[in-house]
Amino acid sequence: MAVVLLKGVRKRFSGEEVLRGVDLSVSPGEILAVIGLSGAGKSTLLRLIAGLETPEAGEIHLYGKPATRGSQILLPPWERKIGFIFQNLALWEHLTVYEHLEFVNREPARIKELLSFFELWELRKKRPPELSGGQRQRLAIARALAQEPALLLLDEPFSNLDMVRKKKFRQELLRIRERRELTLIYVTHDPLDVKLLADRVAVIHEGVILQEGPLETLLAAPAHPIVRELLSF
Amino acid sequence: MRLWRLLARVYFLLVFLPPLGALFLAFGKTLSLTFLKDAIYLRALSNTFILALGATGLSVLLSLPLATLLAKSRFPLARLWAVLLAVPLLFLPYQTALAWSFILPAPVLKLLFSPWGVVFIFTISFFPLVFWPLYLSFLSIPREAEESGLLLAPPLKVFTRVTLPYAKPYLLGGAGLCFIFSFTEIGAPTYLGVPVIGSEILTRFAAFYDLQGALNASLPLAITGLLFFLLERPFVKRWEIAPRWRDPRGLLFESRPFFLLGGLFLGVTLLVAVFLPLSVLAFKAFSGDFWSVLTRAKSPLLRTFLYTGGAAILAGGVALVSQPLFKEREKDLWDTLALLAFFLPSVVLAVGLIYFWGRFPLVYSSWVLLLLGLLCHFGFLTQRLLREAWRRFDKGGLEAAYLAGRGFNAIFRRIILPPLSPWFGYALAIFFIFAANEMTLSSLLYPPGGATLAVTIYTLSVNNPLSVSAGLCLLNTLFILVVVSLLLCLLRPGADGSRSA
Repeated sequence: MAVVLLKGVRKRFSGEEVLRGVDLSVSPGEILAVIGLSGAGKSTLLRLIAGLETPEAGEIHLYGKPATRGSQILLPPWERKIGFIFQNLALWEHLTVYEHLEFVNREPARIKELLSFFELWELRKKRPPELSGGQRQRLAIARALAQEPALLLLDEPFSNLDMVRKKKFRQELLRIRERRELTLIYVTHDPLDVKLLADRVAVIHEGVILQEGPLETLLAAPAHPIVRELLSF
Repeated sequence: MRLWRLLARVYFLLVFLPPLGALFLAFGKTLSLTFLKDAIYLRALSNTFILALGATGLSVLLSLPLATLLAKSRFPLARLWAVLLAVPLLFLPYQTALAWSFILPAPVLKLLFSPWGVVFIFTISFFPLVFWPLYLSFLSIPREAEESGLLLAPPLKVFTRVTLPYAKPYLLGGAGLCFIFSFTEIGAPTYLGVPVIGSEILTRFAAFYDLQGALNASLPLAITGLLFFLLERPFVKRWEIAPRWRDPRGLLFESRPFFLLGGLFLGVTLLVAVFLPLSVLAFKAFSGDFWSVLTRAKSPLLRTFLYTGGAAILAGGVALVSQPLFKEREKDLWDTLALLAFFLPSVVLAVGLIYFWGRFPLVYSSWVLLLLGLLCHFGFLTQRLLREAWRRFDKGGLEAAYLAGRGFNAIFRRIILPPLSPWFGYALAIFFIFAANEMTLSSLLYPPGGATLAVTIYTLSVNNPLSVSAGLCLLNTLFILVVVSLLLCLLRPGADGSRSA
């Protein structure tokens, strides 16, 4: 059973069609990278899966159950068990590290476990402006995991990082994935991210998925010149 | 450049230091607390606090659902409704009270002429002071901050735990403004027969010319203003979130019942605060001799335009020029003084101005005193707005211009002014609205035979048919509306980067 299943999903913004009938399936425990040019519809795809946007047409199924049918939301975002890491991390400046997790999960033992895992327990009384870039990132992941999601969505999580932090963050993600049965979908611009992290890659262009499959397959037989261009180092 | 800097410093010294210094010295030297034994005074004092607290509380209760409806859902034509909700700021509270005294039938009218009625009038007059900061702060919350909450918890929890804490400084700031404005307003309570401390001080000064008595009586107001001044920094500026208009914005509430109930609430609010008072006043005004009202209003209207327009341009101009000229520390100093003058109730500030400038007959008996009063009391608005604009201004372009070897005047005209002009427009408009509708300060400071329109409305209401007052009020609103619209059109606010304010 697919964790995420999209059938003919369409989305329009101010009259312009951003997604034009997307079909996609993601299996449990899989890491799927979504790559494409700016404005191709990558972030919209993640937001639709999370329930933060409503499609005009098509169906979205999560864990075998319908979540969105046409423009009708059947499962609201907070019931989808999805962790989302935004590009700007979207931390709450007024809450402490501890309160970020407490907002999601009220079990003190679980909060302590997560904060210790991400080396944030000592910083639990601090607010985001008092944290370093790396600590902020770890907090964003810890918050996303606090609700025990089965699916983690990442919207260009590496875009604002230097090389050293990028490497650390990638390792962090692989560590999490090993520890729990998590399915990951992440949007990126960087072919290196695809190579180092993804089991499968989907190339999105002008609102449609041009090609999907393992990186090697796509590089060996690209369906469109843009596929080679996006995936070449 | 040096000349401009010197002129700006002289301006700040002349405007802010004399009244504040005089008040400080006067309270220290000649204070008498005998007024605390005066039952009439104490009643007026308690009325003042109760009315201001009541109006502030109700304004928060009114603004919170309205701002949520218009900023946190896809309610149709939200921006239009938000602009309409600012319209009560164009009315004098006295004018709203007058309109409602025409609207209500005799059995209920008794309730209007009571403290309850004053709280009602204050609420529908001043709630935009709470609504607008709240609305802007709701729009400025990063969309992802709310969305990351929505993936974890239902909308109501996200609203209370994420949205409201972000907006808290603005909610507190708006509530503070509402309190201060209700605290010092005298027109509506006087018309509705409820004694307040402002009118008590005005009587002591204007009727008995007892400046010392007025100064003593204004002590509790001064302390309250000082308290607000001291609370501003820790509470209102705590997280330094600059309201920026974000689009697309985070949305929380989408259900049909929310839209229906919210729409009904919005409709009733607009009806009560805007449409009913305005149409009733228009009806009353045109049922009397409107042309004679026009003739009577001509001179006060012109004077209001000159005093408040002149003050707005001067305050805005100096605030604008001083941004590139002053260091941050100096700006902090002027900002602090301006804030103190803004939070001091207008009646107290007027007493301070008279206390100092009374020794200079040329200033005291001319329009200069009123101009100084307006600059001192409302200068903070232009100062804060233009300082915020300067913070957002790209300094890289400025450095490039300096490196190109151009003088300050050319750089100011060609590089600084164009991107800041929309902010300048906002600053002038906001200053003008508050200054033109100001009644207390003007009543105490206007030169002989030089009353503004707001003061004329107040004085003529005593022994003239109510249709005259209605006509004058209507003119006042139209006049402010026309000037503000012209200002906003000329200086084109709304361009990118200037839409917050």
